[in-house]
Amino acid sequence: MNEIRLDNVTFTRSNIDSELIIFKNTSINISGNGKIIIILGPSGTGKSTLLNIFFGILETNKGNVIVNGHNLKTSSNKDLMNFRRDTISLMFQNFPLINWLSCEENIWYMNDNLSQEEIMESLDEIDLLSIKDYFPTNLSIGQRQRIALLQNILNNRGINLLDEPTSALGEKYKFKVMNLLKKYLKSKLLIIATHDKDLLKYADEVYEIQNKNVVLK
Amino acid sequence: MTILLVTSMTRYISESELRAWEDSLNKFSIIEPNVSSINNNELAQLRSNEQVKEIFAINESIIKIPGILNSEYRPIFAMQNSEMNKFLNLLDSKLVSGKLPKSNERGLILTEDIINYKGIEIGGYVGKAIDEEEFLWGRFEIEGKIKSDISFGIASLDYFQRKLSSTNTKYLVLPSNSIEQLNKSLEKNTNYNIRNLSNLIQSHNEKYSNLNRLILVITIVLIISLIIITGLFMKIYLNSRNREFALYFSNGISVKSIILFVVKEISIMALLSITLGILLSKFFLLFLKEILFQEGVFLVSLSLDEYILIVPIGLSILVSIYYILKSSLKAEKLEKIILGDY
Repeated sequence: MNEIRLDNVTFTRSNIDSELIIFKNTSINISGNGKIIIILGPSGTGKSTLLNIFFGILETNKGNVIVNGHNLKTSSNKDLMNFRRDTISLMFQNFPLINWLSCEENIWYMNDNLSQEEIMESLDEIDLLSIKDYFPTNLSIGQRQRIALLQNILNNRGINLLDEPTSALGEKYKFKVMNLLKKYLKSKLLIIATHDKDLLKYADEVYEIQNKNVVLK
Repeated sequence: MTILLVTSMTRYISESELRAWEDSLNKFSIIEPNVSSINNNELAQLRSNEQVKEIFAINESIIKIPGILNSEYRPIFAMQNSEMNKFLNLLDSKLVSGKLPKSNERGLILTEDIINYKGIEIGGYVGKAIDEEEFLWGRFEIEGKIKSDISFGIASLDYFQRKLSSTNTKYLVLPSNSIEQLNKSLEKNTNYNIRNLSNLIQSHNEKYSNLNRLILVITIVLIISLIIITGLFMKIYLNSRNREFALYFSNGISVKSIILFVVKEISIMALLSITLGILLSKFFLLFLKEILFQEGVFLVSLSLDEYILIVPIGLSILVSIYYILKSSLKAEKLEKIILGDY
C-alpha cells in the first residue's frame, strides 16, 4: 500500500535576517490505494513546500519523512533518484515540459510502456488530440497544464503529487480533468495541493495547514 | 577548420620548393660539384657506378607558374641538344608538338602542365622581359610541348653557358635500378653535393623548423581559444536548458546520465558540423579552381596530418565540455532550479 508518513517534522525557511518556521513537530500518515487526498489552503501556507518534502527535494530540519518505506532523510542522492523514478512523481506548479518533444512524446517520456492508443485516448478526453504533434512552446498555458497532468497521471508511479493542477484551467476543463484523474486513478495515491474548494468533492481525505501543522479535516 | 586552414595554408606556402622538385627527384638526382666542375676521372667513376644508368651535363633555372597563394616554380634543365631526345626517352616522356630547342638559341620546351598553368601556346614567350617576376632572364620562345608525368622544361646548354659566362656544370643522374639505390651509392663523396629528395626534405625541415614551431604555437592558442569559446557557449546552452535538465533529474534520471546524454548530443552535432565543414571547404576550393583560377591553380589539399588534428582538438573540446557539465550539473543545483530558487 502507498504510504507517506511525517514523523515529528520541523521545516524552516531562511529569510534575510530570520528563520521562518513552516512546519513544527508535524506528524501525519497518508496512506491508501486509489485515493485522492487534497491539501487545502490559501497561497503561502506551505502546500507546495509539503509536496516538495514528500518528493524529497526539500530536506527537513528535524524528523523523518518516510515514503513507501524509504526514509528520505537518510537517503543518498542516488537512492533518492531511484526512489523518484520508481515510486513518486510531482507535477510542479509551473508544469515544465520538454520543449523539443511533442505533446504526445512528452507523455510517452514519463512512461514508455504506454501504447499509442492509450495516449491518444487520454489526449482525446481532454480535447488535446488535435494538437498531439505540437511542441510545448506553441501551446497555451492551459494546454500545457493539461499535458503535464496527463504526464503525471499516466506514469507508472504509485504516488502522484499535483501542485495546483487546475490553476490555469477554466471551469470546463477543471472538472473534465478531475474526472479524468478519477478514471486513471486505479491503485495510485493522488495528493493534490490546491486552494480551489471546487475540487473538494473529488477528495477521499482533506488536510489543511493550520498553525504550522498539517491537520486532517 | 580555422586550425586546418592556417596550418594547410602555411604548409602550402612553405612547401612550394618541395613541390617544385618532389616529382623530378623521384626520377633522378642532381650532382652539384664543390668546385667549378667534376674532373674526368670522377666523371668516369660515376659512369662506372652500376646504379647509374645515364649522366647528363646540365645547367638549370626555374620557371614561374601561378599558385593559389603564391607563385610556384618548376625546374628548367639546360642540356646538350644531342642528349635531349635520350633524356626524354629515359623519363618515358615525349615531345608531342613543336620541336626541340636549337643549339645556342633561346628556345624552350615545356611539359603540358606548365604550358596550361601559364596559359601560353607554342610560339609564345616567357622570361624576365615578359614578366618581371620570372627568374629566366630575357625572352625565351616556347618551341615545343612535352608529355610527361613530371613538370620541367628543357633549354639549350650552349646558350645557357654562353649567356651565363660560366662552365658551372651540374650533372643529372638517372638510376639504373631504383632512385633509393642510386642515392645510397652516391651518398659518400666529398667532392660534390647530391641533391636528392631526402636531402631536400631535410634542408626544408631545418629551414622551416621555426615555422613549424610557430604553427604549433598558433594551434595551441587556437585550441585554448576554442576551449574558452566552447565554455562560454556551454554556459549559454546550459542556462537555456537548465529547467529541462532539472526536470529530467526530478523524474529520477541521474546527473551522470544527463551529462552523457548532453555529451552524446553535442558529439553528434560536432560530427555533423565537422563533416559539413570539410565538404563545404572542398566545394569552396573546387569553386576557386573552376571559377576564379581557370588558367591553372594548385588546390590546397589537406594532408592526413591536418585531418588527424581534428582528433586531439575534438577530444580536448569534448573533455572540456564534460568537465563543464560535471561542474555545472549538480544535484543540489538542479533541485534549486526545479524549485525556482536558482
